[in-house]
Amino acid sequence: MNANEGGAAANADRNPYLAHHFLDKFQQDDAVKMGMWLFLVQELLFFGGLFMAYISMRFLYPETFLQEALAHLDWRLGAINTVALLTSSLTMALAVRAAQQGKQKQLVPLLGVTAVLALAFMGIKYFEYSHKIHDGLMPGIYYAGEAVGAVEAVHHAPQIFFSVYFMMTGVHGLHVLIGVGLIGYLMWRATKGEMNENNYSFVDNVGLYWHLVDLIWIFLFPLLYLVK
Amino acid sequence: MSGHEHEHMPLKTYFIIYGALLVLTVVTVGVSVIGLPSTLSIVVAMAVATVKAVLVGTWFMHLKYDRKFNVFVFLASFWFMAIFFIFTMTDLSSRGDILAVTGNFEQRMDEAIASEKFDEEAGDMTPEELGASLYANKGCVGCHSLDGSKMVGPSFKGLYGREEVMADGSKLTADDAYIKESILEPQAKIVEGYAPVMQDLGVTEDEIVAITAYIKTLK
Amino acid sequence: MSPQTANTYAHPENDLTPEVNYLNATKGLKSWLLTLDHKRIGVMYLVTILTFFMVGGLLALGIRAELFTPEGDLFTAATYNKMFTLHGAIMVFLVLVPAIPASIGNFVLPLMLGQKDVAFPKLNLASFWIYIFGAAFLVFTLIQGGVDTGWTFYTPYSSDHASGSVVLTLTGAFILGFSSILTGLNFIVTIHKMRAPGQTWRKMPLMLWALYATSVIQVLATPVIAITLFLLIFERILEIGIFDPSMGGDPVLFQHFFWFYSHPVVYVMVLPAFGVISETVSVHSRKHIFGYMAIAGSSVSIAAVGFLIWGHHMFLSGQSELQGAIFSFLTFGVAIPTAIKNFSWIATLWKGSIRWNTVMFYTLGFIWIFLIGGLTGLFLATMATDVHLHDTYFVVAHFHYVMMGGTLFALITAIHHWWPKMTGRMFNETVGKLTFWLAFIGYNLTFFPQFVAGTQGMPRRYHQYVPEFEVWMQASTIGSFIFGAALFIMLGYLIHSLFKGVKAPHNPWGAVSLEWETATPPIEHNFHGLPVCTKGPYDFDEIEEGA
Repeated sequence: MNANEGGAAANADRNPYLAHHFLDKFQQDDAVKMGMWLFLVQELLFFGGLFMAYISMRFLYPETFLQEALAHLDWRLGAINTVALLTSSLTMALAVRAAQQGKQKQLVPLLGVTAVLALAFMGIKYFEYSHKIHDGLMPGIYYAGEAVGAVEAVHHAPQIFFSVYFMMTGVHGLHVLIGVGLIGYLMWRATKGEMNENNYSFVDNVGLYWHLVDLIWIFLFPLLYLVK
Repeated sequence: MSGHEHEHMPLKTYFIIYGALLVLTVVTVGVSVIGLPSTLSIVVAMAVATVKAVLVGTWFMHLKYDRKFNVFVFLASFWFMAIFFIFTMTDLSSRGDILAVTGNFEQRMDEAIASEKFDEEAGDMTPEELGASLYANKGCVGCHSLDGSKMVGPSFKGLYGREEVMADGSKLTADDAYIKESILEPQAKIVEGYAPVMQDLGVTEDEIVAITAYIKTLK
Repeated sequence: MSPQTANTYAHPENDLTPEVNYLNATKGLKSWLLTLDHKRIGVMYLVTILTFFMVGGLLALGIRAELFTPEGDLFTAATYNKMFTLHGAIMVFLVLVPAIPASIGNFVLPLMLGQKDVAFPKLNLASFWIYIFGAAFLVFTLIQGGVDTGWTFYTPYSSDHASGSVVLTLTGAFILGFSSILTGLNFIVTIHKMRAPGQTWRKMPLMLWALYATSVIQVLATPVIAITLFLLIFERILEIGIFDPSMGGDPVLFQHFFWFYSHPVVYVMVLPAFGVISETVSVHSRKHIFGYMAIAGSSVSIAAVGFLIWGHHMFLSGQSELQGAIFSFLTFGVAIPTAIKNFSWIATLWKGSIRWNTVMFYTLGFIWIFLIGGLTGLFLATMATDVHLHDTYFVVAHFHYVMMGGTLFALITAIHHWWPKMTGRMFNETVGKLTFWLAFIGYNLTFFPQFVAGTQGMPRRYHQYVPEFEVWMQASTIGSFIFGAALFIMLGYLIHSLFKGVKAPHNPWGAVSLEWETATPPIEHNFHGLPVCTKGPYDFDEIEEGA
């Protein structure tokens, strides 16, 4: 009945990446993968609150949300950022593939490209943000957009549009930055050869996280920049 | 199982998906530039975004090769988000009955702003002091005297509790309700011997309370 | 296998000689604070939660003392407001939400599954420290002078007007959410991927079903409160205007955000309680649980339906009548699975060999109290009666019957039931039973009069009240001090048992779920070898022999 007394001999040839409380690597990878999906679920619901704020405020102030979006957000910058994130998603997916196949030489450069694209995304965001701050297109009481010809505060609620804009893109940007940190850490581990075909679930999970960040931007871009 | 099968996903697939995502980005931008009517525009944009999300989820995130339960978990999160959106928006869009009673959102905000302004101006003044200041600033002083002399309108001196004879011959005692009505609807009741010339001066409810308090002090 | 020989995995020699257990395997503070052992983490949670329970409880006694007389003579109104706010915030965020899952759940879950640990031990430790970090914010708020928003943080009061460290409290609650999410995530994965060979879903103890349903809510609902508090923090700092009517926002929207989490979270508090009672009612009546699948299914359906009914907190908040009616209707739906549980427990007791011990006393106490709490919920779910009862002491009594009577009585039940397993000692049964009566009487005396005062119209959260309510309020205050005394006696005899208690056998209750098949207290890695699950968690075979 004591199916596995787990002698010293069995421990010796245990996979070094296998934690003590799992039976085998398959169980561990399976558990880790499911844990990651559950984490993504909570990420989605976290963003869900922001989308709820967008939907309800757009419902209350339809004209403002449409006018302001068109007049003061540059869809070209948004589109460039979309392409940057989509491309980084591709390179991330390829990086996961490289890790799974043990192609160490491909892994680090692919991760590097992903990180660079993410930083480019943040660079453009920085440019957009500083432009808005300069024009007084700020959230809440800091809104002063009348000077650049935007609608008057309070009644048409442009201050709420910019609140929603900064909250949504800000939280998303924070996730991009965390992603850059994770990818950097992966690169460091990968150069030491620790991210190989026997131990790629961390790469896989960062990949999933990164695709989710991309996925959220796929919805943010049309909602904030395009929909009239 | 999970994590082993998609090793065989050919490199070509990744680039096909990437190409499709780029094309869809062009489509969504293109639709926006053409400028569809607002409802159609959002439907198209969200449909395109959903297709893109499915592409990313199915191939880049390997859901096609993953355990079915993980797919279920991921989709469940959209289901619960939908509950949140649908119930909340049902409330927001069916609050019409309340809006009909209390006025629309802008009116309520106007009132809120007026009330805040009132609080600021009132500061530490007592209602009587505030009433005195309103008497001077709102234009009452032009037609209503404080010493009992007859001007365009009846004097405020001793007005509160006084019995007035109306133009139609009826009699009533000047109380809070009467003063309020006379300010909000000046033509509703006219004291005998005066012309119905008073205008709506845009006095708020808070201010009426203060003016009434002031009138009470004028014995 | 009978319970006497059940400790197959306890020790190779199968005897009671003391062996190295999880408590004495390693020594020193660091070995506790940085442990990855789920049992030690569970114990640390338990100690921390009980400490905060004491803080929240003392605040409650202060509130009751103030309400002994109609005049506000003990504290100022401002102090009183801060006291009930902190009482609520501490009890909800620091005590009730993690009470059973994080402490007892952490301890028993891997044991019941026949595993060495939860799926992610490091994450488990991280969530404990996130909890401590979040709690530190709330403690700091307390030192700073507190907040007076009420634990619900309704806008625009919390965003525009409230004084005090609102942002600090919000940050604390925000951080605590992540502790809850990570615990839930860990449990779901552990239950899915790590069950003992032979332990199918239908052979899991009902405690695990309850913890599973709880975890689903934690993962799905908690992120929404996180973003809500996040937005509220910015509402307060930047006046972003989403919830603030003076900036054009919608304060009722805040309540939707808030209750989308805060209603399901009452099931995070009470579902594990159902799990505990399902265990104890069966083990201590030595009878197979009645309606196993019905109880398991009702846990999951409560979790699902629990997401559809949050608006019953908002009937009088300016929510549309249509949406209110929908929420009211759906709220009645949640009564069905809850009633299924209650009937199943009572049916389990029927013709069982009931063991009249402390655990059974508390189990029956729970069933009684939760019945009252559940049924009074129906009055509040009905829109028309809610108009009268909303924000009165009726509501206060209702949610204390459900939350405190439900969760807390179940926590006490769980502590007594698993005490021998956790500590290796038996507590004094006689004192335990006497204390139960003190606690039970004190509890009901505290909260039952509040129903009466509430129906007569006494509003909640008032510092002073009209003299008509004095008799009810005085009964309530007296009850609360009796209850408080009972809890201190309980603390006393439990601590006493740690040093002077009789050494516990491996399986004092003759239970058949896997956690009783290891040593008492369990060894560091729970089991020697890998346990195999050969029968259901409630198959008490010697009962059939004796019958």
